[in-house]
Amino acid sequence: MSKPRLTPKETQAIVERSIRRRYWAERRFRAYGFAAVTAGMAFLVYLFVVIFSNGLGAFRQTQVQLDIYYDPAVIDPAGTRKPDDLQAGDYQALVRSALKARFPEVEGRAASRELTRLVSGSASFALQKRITADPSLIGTRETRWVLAGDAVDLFMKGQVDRALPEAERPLSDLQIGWLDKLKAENALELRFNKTFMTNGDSREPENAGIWGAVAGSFYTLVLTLLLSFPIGVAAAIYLEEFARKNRWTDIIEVNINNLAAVPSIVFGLLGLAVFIGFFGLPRSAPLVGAMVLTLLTLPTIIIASRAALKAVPPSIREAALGMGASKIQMVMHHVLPLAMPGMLTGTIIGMARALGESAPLLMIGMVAFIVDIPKGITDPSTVLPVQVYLWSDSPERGFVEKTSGAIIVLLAFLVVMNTTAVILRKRFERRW
Amino acid sequence: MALSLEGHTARAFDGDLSSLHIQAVAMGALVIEQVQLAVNAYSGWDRSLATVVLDRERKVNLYDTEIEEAALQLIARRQPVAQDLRAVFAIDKVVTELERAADEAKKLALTVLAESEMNGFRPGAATAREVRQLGRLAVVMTRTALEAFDHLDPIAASAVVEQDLEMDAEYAAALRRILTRAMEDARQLQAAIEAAFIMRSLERIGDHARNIARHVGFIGGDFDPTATGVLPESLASKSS
Amino acid sequence: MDTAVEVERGGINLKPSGRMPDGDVALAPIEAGKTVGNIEVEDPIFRCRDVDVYYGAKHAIKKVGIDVGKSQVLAMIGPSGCGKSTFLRCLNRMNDTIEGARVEGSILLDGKDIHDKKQDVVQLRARVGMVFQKPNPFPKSIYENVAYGPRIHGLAADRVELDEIVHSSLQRAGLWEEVKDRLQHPGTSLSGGQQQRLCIARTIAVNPEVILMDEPCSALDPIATARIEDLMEELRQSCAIVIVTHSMQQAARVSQRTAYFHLGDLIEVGETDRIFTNPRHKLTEDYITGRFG
Repeated sequence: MSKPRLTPKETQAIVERSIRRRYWAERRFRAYGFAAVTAGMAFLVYLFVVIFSNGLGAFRQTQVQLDIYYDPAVIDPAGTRKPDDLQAGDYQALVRSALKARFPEVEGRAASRELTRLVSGSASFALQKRITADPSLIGTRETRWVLAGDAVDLFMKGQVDRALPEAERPLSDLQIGWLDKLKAENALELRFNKTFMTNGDSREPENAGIWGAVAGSFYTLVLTLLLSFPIGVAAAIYLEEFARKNRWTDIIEVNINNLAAVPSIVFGLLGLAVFIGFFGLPRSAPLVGAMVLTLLTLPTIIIASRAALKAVPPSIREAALGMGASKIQMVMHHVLPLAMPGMLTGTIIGMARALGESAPLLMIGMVAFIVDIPKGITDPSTVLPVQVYLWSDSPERGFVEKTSGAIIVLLAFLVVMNTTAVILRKRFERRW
Repeated sequence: MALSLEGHTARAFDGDLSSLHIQAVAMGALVIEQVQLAVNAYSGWDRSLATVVLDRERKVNLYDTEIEEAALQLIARRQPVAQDLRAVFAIDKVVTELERAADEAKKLALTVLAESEMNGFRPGAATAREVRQLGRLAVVMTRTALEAFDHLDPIAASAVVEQDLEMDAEYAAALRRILTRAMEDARQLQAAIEAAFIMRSLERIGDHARNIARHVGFIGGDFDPTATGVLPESLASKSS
Repeated sequence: MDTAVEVERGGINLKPSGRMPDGDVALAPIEAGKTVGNIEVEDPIFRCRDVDVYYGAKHAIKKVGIDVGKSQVLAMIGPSGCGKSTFLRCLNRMNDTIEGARVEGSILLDGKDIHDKKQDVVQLRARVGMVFQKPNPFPKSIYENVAYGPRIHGLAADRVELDEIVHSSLQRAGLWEEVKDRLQHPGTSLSGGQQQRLCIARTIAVNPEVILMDEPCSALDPIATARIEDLMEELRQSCAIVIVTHSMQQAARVSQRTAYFHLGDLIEVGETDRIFTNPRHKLTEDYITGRFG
């Protein structure tokens, strides 16, 4: 017996009964969504707070104010003012005498050594560079801020516990006494850490800088982009527009999807074996790193580009073909510009991943201790994530904050890169 | 072999077209009655019958305007094409012919009333007989045409052609006889002229019937079935 | 059917019958598979004979033959799925873009087979333009939309000539006054009717010999439709138009010849006036009077 047809009024009564239930379900769903977003944001905020609280310290370093007398007898005994001679001068002696002048009561070799250790070893090199650049300073007196030693840096950042016994502290009681005095005289300060941004890696934490890694990352990524974007886009266009739909193209599609999920370290092994082993390219160079990262990001770009191409409405293609455009013209003039925002999105995602990859680059040797700033794509270099890994592995306490500082730089790099890409994408979207 | 006004997917269209047709047929029935009554009134010199004819004339005119209005609305609402368009067109034209036929009948009635008012010329027995004969033919023709119109049967419509031949012959003969009588007796001249006019009206009614038959053929798609009386092949294959 | 003798009876002249108003002497009997009416036209621009179209195994168009006359509008009507759009797309080889579509038979444009190896399909589509059901202007400026065709076919030597072509095309399409101040605006910012006229403008910018229209007004309101029908009347002076339409009133308004398709067969072709007052085939009659289905 079939149900008799309901009148509109009866149907309305049934609908009314179910409405409350439906609205509650809706409200629950919205609550879930909100909770998910909030949880995500909370984790993100926590992450940033931890990193920034650890890392901000890296952007400041302790400096000591010293009166330096550019003693000609020490710097340029021969009086020739020749650059070679100037370079060979004993600038460390200048530092020592300046310190001695500050603390004349210090006696004995042990105490003197401790006093000298208050200042970083690189201070003498800084003086050397200064004199070589401007020899007219020889014989003058100057008050300069020089880099303090890494233990002093820790002291200024409150990481030296005075309560511990002397043997467990990086600074002796004597040294602490001197530092207190210097601080009281305003000769000991935390200032902006230029060396962090301009130096390459170093064994001494106070000298360690991020610029080598930044340059390395920059070269690697630019090269990766130049390689992977054209190849990926061209491959996607071919597969989507020109290739005939048969078993071969199906196999290729499956393989590309699989490649996108392959662990990145496998690409590193490939790079090691093929690029370095077979083709003999230089180890640790951005060139090889870029090639490996290209292999990594290609599947992502191809998949995203194909999806973007598929999304272009067929009416545009038909209109172009109907006008008498050839297939290439149809794709280049009409389909590609419309698909570009999607392609750029895929590229952004791929590049962001490439920026943060360290495993494959470790395999091709970018884990070495590189001091010099790389100047080209074949110079040995390292990248930011690897640098973070190396510093985090280091025993010195001074590297702890530098690790977090490096992470901050990495994140800043990422933000800049993504913003550029998003602006580019918006420009493309707006024009059409 | 009849054509059909029905079968549209939109059934309301069927209804519109059918009701138009039915109304026209009803008007036709009324007109046939009018003609018969008018002939009887004249040949029997019956004033009361003549009055009835005049009264009914209003109803005929009402039919005319209503059907015209309905046809116009159908065209606006349905945008008919092909056979439907021809049908609406033809119905409208048939209605006009019927209205004119009714007018001719009215003339007969008016003559009766006017002449008997003025103690004028009453037709003699011979004239009355001839008028009855022509009247009978006119009614038969109109009835045949209307039946063909009712059944939308172009083949039946072509029968009116034969009847028209007969009508023409009868009319010619009757006219001759009237002239003869008038020539014999000059006092009868005026009466003869009057009678001639009456017979002309009846012959005209026959013409209208023939036109109605032609319009039925128009619906069928052949634009002139009356000439040969043979059904064209197009109708044979289409109507089946 | 012989002609009748002129008869004089009682002063009445009867017309000879048996002649249909369009001059055919004999009415063709209806055979299965044969098109009723005259498919031929004098000096046609398109001559199609025995055209078959298969989509995979499905036989979509069955041995259709028809001529398209110059300076004439041919309307193709029929119920959904009868193959009229498929046949239209054969004329500019747009069915090539569909995988699994196969076209057989001969389609001659100005005497030359369009499927010949020597015939370039790109050039064909410059001679035979197409306007689609849903207006699909390129996502570029109005100027660029119209200039695209002339540009890729090299019809303009410099910017001045290109401007001239764009101006005259937009004017012929009846769009110039409305867009002359905003040629750089995107084509998609126009209303539906304007977009369709823009599509027509870009089609006529390459001076085609034939314009194919696939239900061009089905997405438009009556005023826009009327404008485009008016445009068609002007355009047919310079090029033939083949229009597929669902609206019989539109077919009756704009075309000189009408073709009725039914399940892949071409049932009847003839002068539009006659088709709509007195079609010869019962299927045609049933369709146009609404007795179909």
